Amino acid sequence: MAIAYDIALMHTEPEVDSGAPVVAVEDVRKAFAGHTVLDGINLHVTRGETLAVLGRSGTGKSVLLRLIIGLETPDSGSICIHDQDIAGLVLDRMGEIRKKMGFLFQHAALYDSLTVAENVAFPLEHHRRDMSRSDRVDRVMQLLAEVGMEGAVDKMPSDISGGMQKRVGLARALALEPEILLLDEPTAGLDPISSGEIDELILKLQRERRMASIVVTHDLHSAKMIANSLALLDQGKVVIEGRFEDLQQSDIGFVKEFLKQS
Amino acid sequence: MRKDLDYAFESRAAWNRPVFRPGFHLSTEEQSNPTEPGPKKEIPGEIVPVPEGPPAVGKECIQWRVGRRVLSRFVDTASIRTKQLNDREPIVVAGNHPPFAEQRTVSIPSALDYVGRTTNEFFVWFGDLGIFAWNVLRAALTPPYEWRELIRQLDEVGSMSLPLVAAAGAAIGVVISMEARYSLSRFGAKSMFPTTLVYSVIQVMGPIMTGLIVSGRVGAGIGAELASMKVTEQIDAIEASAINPYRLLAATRILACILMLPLLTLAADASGLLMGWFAQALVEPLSFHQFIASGFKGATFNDFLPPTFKTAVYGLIIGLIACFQGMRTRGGAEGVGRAATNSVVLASLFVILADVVLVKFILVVFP
Repeated sequence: MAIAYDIALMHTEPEVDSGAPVVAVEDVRKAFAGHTVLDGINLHVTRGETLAVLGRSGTGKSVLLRLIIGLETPDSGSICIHDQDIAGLVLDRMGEIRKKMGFLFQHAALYDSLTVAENVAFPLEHHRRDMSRSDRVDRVMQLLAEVGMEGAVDKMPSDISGGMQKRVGLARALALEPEILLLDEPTAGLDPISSGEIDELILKLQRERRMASIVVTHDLHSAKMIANSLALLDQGKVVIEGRFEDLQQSDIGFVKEFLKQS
Repeated sequence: MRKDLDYAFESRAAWNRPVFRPGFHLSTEEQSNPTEPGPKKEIPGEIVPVPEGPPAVGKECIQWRVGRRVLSRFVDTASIRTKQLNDREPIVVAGNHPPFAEQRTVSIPSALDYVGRTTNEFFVWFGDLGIFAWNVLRAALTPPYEWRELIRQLDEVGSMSLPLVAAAGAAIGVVISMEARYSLSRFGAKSMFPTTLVYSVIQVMGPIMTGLIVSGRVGAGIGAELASMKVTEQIDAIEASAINPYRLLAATRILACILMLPLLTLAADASGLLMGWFAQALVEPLSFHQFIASGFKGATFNDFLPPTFKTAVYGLIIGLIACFQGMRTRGGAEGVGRAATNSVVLASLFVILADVVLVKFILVVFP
């Protein structure tokens, strides 16, 4: 079953544009309380590409995603979204750029006072004010069906499992039809079957929507399946970036050790 | 005693094993040969030479060894925690030190440093509050406006606080009625009772009591709610959804507090006057019509409107401080608790301080 699943995925790898990068991270540095987390990171992601960022805990992978969506600001370097440097943008201007981005948080970060459907409807209510109520309901149901959560419409986030919360978080991230999808540990803490389902879902979405995606993960198997390219971080730097085969052929000690332990 | 002696005779080598303890330094020998991996942290302080051993004999010796044993247990627990944090933080300290002050490596901030640091934190807090207020103001004045959330907050702040404020107002009215009757009787000024009650409730007790009650109920509620959202990344999720959290969360709550405080004050005043009259009427017959006519005789709007509408400033203070404390929270459940407590304490304090300024302002502007 698993082999058939892998083969099916390999045959449907999304196409990658060779054009200008949608997300360009240039020489980004970030430190917290004097402790350098990211030290000169360079990454580029084009439309249709999925980049998996791997590395040990505490190497700044999640910080990288937060920098890209503007929840943190880099100490130096630049982050460009569609050639627009996001450094120093005011909140409302940054909001315009964020409408093109979807973010799945590590712990889903669903609004705990809203139902599953209200969580997914939340961005639509604020950014698609011209949308009629019935259209909004249809859209929410469509998004929930896409992630296989149409049966949990009226449930509260506390009443569903971690895997289901991530699915709902993913539906919410997709609500505004983003061009860029940022996923922070989408399979962390999930059982292998749920992880496989999330991977399959991400790959399906990529095939259908051809977004530029950055996935932060510890799960090498998951990264290998859903990503076109992988970047391995260590001590705030990109140790290697390339396809999975490039990592396998690398002579770098850390890369070998990481692949061995994974 | 037997146990103490057991400790006393235990081998010294066991007590001298290296241990981790926040707040202490590596001894010189241990610094050159750390027992745990991780980056070293340079910590200001003086390395004090560790004496060779415990006092040689007697009770002092046993106390030294027992104290050391207890300390070892404490620091063993600390070492496990330190190890767990090793990925995130530099190793803090290590050391094998007897529990005598003169044998420890100590970093004692001077009183001047402490005062300087506290003063600095005080100004940083006010600076952050100013920046926060500016962000909220800018968000509140620019579209899109969050009407639905504002209405929800008006209900939360106003309707939900109404029973509590009315009950407190009634109690205050009864207390003032009883006190005023007694005091005025002593000075033969019983006829002044209605006026005294009306002015006491409307000008003094109603506004400040409403401010304090709302700062307790609403301040804690807003502080805890926003803090909880902050630590569970829900505020980040709002921001990541391209929604301005200052507009959606802070501006609506602050505006709701500003709008509802005067209305709640009116409710508290009405409740206080009604129950004050009722308490008086139980003792001496006094019609409500007569009470009102006598109490408001010669009164002007200047006597009653400024004290009522000054509570809008209390609302601004309560909403602003509670939102600020909530949205800057860090540190999980403990942080949420701290934010709620700080919201109430600071909001109450600033409401009282603002009252001093506002009373003087009203006396000058509306003589």
